[in-house]
Amino acid sequence: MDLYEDEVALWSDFVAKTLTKTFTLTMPPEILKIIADLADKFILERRKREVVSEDK
Amino acid sequence: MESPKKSFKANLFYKGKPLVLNYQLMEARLKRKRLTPAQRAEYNRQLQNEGGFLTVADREDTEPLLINFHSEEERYTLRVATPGMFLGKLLSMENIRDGQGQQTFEKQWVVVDRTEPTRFFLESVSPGTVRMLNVAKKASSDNEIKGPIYLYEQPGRLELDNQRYFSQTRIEGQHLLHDPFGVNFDIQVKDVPLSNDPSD
Repeated sequence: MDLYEDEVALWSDFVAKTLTKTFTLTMPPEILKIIADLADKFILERRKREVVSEDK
Repeated sequence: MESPKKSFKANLFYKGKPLVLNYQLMEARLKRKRLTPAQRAEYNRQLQNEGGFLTVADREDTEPLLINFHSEEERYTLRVATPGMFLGKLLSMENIRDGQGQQTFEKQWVVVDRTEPTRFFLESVSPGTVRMLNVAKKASSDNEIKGPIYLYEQPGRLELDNQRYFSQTRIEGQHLLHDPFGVNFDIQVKDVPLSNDPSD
């Protein structure tokens, strides 16, 4: 899945935080792909929310 | 709100979100920015082939489906009154083929052309809220009021896009995300047509 520039920070942040919480050295490297796929789905959900600016 | 006795047009809402036909939901989703190619292809596919079942909109500001409630001795038949693909068609609970080509066990609330649709009885739960109880079809000359409408949710072809649809039966199917449960709808009456002609 392609990421837009303003989504990169969010995606990387999600992966980093999930890794620090779940990763141990005994886990197989496939866990990286699983977390990356999860981050993709997170971005897809994020895109469903529209951002509105407050009108004054 | 007293039980409406005559024909009227109204919008239905489920927990604040409008009821729409699936083609309206797909049109709204196709307007979103940043769709992936898979999402765009799936929404277009559903727009072409699965547009005719009643579902719940994603967003609360989506244009709700305008439904003509035609009263015959306090039993209502429903017709689509929103201009577009299905204007004038009846809304009824029918057995249909699902995406795998199998006849569904539970009936779905869909648009049909046939002349004997499901009839409904509107039970007023509280002001502005109704429970739509289904009544047997007119041909069987059975006027007994049966059960409420149940909300079903099943996974769609895309992982994060579940399909919600309605039925008059409660069957726990294999591919459902949760047990179906009876629902109430919030109703907003739009206007009362002057004649009782159902094609208005």
